Amino acid sequence: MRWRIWAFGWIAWVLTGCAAFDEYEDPVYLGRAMSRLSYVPAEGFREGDVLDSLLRIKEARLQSGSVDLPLLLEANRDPYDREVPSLPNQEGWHWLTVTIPASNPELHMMEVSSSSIDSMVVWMMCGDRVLHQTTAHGSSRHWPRGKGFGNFPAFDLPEEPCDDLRAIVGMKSGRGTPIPIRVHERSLLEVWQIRRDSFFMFYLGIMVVMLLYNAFLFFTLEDRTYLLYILFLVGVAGSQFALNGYSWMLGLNSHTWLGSRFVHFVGMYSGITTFLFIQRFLDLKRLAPGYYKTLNIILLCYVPAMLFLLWGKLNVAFDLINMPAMFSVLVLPAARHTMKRGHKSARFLLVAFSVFLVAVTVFALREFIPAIPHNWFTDFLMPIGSIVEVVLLSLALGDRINQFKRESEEAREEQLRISRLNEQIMQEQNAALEQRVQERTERLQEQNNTLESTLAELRMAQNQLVQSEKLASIGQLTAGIAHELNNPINFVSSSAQSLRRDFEDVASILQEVERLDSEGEQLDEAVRELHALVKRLDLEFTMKEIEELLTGIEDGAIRTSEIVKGLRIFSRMDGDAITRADINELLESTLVILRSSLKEEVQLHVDLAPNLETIECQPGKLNQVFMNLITNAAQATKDQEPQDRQVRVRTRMVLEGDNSWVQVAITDNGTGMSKEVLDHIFDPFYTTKDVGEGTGLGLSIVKGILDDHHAVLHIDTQPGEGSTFLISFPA
Amino acid sequence: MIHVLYLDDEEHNLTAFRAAFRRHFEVHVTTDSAVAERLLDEHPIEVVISDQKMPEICGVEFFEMIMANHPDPVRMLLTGHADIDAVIDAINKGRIYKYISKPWNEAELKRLVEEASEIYRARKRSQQVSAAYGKNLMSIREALILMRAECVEEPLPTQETRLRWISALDATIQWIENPDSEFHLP
Repeated sequence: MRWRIWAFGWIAWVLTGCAAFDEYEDPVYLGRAMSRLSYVPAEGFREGDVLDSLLRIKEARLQSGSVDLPLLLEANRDPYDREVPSLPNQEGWHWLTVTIPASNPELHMMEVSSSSIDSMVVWMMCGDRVLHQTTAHGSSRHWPRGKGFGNFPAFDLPEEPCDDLRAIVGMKSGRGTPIPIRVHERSLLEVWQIRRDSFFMFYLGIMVVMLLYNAFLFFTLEDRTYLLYILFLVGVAGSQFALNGYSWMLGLNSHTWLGSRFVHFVGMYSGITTFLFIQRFLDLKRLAPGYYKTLNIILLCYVPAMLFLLWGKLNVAFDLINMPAMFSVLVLPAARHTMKRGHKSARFLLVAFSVFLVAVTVFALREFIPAIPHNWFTDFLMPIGSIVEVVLLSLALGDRINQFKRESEEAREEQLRISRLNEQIMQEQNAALEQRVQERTERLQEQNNTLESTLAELRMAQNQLVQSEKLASIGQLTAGIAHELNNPINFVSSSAQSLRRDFEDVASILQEVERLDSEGEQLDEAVRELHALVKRLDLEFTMKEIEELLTGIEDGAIRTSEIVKGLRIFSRMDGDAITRADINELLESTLVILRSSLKEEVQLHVDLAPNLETIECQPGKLNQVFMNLITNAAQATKDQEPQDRQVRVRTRMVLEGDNSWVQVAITDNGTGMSKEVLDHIFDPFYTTKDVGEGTGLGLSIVKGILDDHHAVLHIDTQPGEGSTFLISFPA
Repeated sequence: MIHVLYLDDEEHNLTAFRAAFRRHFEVHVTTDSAVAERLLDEHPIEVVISDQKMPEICGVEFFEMIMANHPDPVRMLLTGHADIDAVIDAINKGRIYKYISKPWNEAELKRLVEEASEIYRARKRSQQVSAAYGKNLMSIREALILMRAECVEEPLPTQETRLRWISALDATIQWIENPDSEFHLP
């Protein structure tokens, strides 16, 4: 907002300045209000003609006092009632008649306050009489002027008094220009000129300082914007110096090729550098590409301007050069635009150009608006404006550095903020992550616990199942044992009783025999009785029966003792102790238990190798294995007739190099197994038996036990062709 | 003497059984079910005892086998250990009288055989009685039919009396022919 206040302040200052200086400087402009000018179109005159005529007049007519030409010119005069006339931007000579009010002429000079006139001729006339003629043509250094450095042409008024003093002024210029013609006291004019020179020296000083300062910055910072600023500064200063008539100091004569085009060149240069500088400063290429392109197109106007300038059409070139200057108004919205896009330094440019444009506008408008006076202030408004512009832009560049610094600071702060934010986020994330990890860990722990308890339960269930499997085999054992034991016990005990009775019979016969010995007489009688008794008791049969009963009792005793032995071996089932055991013995004990149930069902063939080595094993567990496998083998044949059901149990010793194996083969001619079944037989709970007939654990337990014994189990089976389970124990 | 048949695959059991009971019963023993069947044909066997567990044929199956031709002998099953399935089968299929576990108690076994024998004899007697009863009933029926015919032919004091006699005889004959029907005189 502040820049707006500055802008309004500037405009207010300019306006009050216009008014105030008008009052203050009034006495200096003696001639301004009083001058009456007529504009004479230069029709019918060629430049060469006029010049020739003028030279001829100078030569021939000065003495004779003839004033044909001026008079002729005056005849066509047209009243021109503006205080400051303008030289139109047209080729050729332009003529004015200036009526000079009567005063003390020797103290006065007439000044044409424009540096834009290339050639000039002035006739001082008193009535019809030419008092003297002055030609300003050629080196500006030799131009008639005051003591100042400005090349505003100034002419001494004739010394002889005249009531009707007029000046006929002929001018030629490559560009349009206002021509304030003033009549001053000589001393005042000189003061004024000195003041003007002083101002421009001051102006020059500021410009040089700015130039050096920015050149220093350019070389220090190596930012090309400063170079462009310097070029722009040179353009601004150069055009001001040129416009105010100081270009002759560079040795440029207005009548030379370069001298007459110098203002054009400077204007063009200034325009180009200004636009380039603005483009660069506002970073239009990036921030406002539309404006950037527009400015580039405008710059193209200088190409035809240049061509016309080279061609010699200075006036056309001047119009073309002025055109882009009009478009320089575009700088203001461009600056606004970039400001909105975050280019803060653009506000300096906005103010600087506003100031300069106000100055230019006021300078240009004073020609058309009578309210704006031609005075010291408005004359200097442009240079002052340019000073403000240049200084502000320099400040802007400084601000740009600051802005860069700020931006980098901000960027750094932003980066710091972001990194802090990141850190914070990271911390938060870490915390969240930690919490999640914690939660996950807890959940895992929980799951783990659940799993563990499930596992424990499973283990327990498995143990129970294993136990029940074991109990099932114990049940099988008891059933077998019971039957196996009950038969011998039955016939032994029954036979014993019968034997006693038979013995009593025999004893009674023996008693008779004994009696026979003691009572010698009646022998025949006694023998006959004895025979009768023997016959009655059927001694022969009784003796045979006794024989049979004794055999039975003997047999029973052997069988029970065998069963008990088998039972003793088998009852190691619960013991996990590792001992050396004979596989044959284990198999026999198992078969004792199984035989009673199997013998009704299958044809059991047992073929045990005699030379078997004992092995380190858990006999109880191996009994479980054999029992399981033999029972399975028997069950596999159950679809056949009892006489066809074959189960074969074989053992043998195998030597393979240094290794020796005790092999047990259990073969049946049952249903066999398919590949699919074979793949699963060791899976727990897998069973092909009907529901309730098997737990599905038997073979998995078998596998576990055999693995514990480092035994190798090989199964050879085909569906419908029976199975062979070959177990190889390392001996 | 009571004829007892004992079937067991264990020879010693047979010996022991014969030795124990030959003084009391007429004992027939064998290890072969076919021989056992022949013995049933040849002797008036009152009690059949069979072991349950045998390689060729189990006790219940043996009982089922002989049921057709020899339904009358009382059947007893002898087994080494209590097998509940065998017991159920024995009762349902084998229609056994008793279930005896080994080792047997000689005195008890003797008593059981005697009881079984009594049952057998009672059954036989009851059969004889009922056969005799049936035979008598049939002869009564024939007599009644004869009587009815006479009633039809012979003149009786009144027609009404004759009709009453005839209907009474009809009812009686009908009842004899179908003893399940309710008997009542008109």
